[in-house]
Amino acid sequence: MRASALVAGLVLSSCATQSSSSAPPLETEFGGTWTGAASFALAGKFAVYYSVPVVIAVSGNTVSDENICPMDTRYLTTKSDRLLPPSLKATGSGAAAAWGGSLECPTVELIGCDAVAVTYTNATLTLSGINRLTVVALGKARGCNTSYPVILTFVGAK
Amino acid sequence: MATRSGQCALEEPLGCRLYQPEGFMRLAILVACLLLWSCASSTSVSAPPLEGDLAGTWTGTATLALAGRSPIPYSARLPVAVSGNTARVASICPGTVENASVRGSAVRLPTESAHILSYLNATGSGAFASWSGILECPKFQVRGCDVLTVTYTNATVALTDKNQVTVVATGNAEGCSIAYPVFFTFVGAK
Repeated sequence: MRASALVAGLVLSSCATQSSSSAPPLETEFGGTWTGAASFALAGKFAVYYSVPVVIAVSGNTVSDENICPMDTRYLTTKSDRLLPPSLKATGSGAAAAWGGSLECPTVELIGCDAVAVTYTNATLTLSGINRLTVVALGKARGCNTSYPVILTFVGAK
Repeated sequence: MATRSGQCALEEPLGCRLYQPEGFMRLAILVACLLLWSCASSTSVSAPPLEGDLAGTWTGTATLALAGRSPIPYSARLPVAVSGNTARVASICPGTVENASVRGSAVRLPTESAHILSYLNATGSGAFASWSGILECPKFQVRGCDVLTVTYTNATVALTDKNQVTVVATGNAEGCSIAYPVFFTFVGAK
């Protein structure tokens, strides 16, 4: 019984740590300022598009994205410029990183609702091709007694 | 940057105000029921259909992220069929796609079979559709675990530009005595 429990524990430990301990680092190409189009899509609404520079810092198996929250644009008036923008730290290896958790963004104002709070729960950052970064974040937007799924999609280049 | 106009007005809650005159309780109840039925059904009937632009085969970058493991990026093709308020998204399961890395390096997703029959039917309106349920994908392999089963429970499909679709799905993966939360993303163009 003890032996089988030990073996099971070792297997579990092996599976759990296999990727994080031996995985090669993220590609350094992640680092830098990426310029592209972001789309902020809410269920049942038209997507809101805006141009945004995404600043990525990479260190080992971690990338940080400090610009994932909706920000000041033509269509999205935000208070985020008066607050420290939350940053997202994703982990991964090679050409992709992922993040899961809860990231609350500063409240933004939308037409018809002047206080919409976006909370992201998942995100991926992926390098593809020669010079292309794709960021996708999933979360919820709450405000004015309603709640909507929200997707942020960013595709950019350096 | 796309120039589609942003229209983000949040809808007001649907309300039905019923007036019940005294002495006509039965009639009032009947009228109220009819009004409630009318209100309840009008929201689904009146929702505009999904945009036809969603339909087609989308080619792009998929990323399968399992919590605690390095995410797996790969090139993917997702066929989407649209009918009214329903979008059928196929090839969302790992292994339904070409086993080519997005960076041209080694194969990331060895698989034993084609999984083209794995699809989900998302419902929505305009440029946004969502799905919830259980979609159990065929088993596949990842480094360090030969048999992994992904089960999606929620997914969202959205047109995020004039020629860009974003698909996200969440669920769980089980294998090698461990369960992982799964987050799948796909961004593609036609």
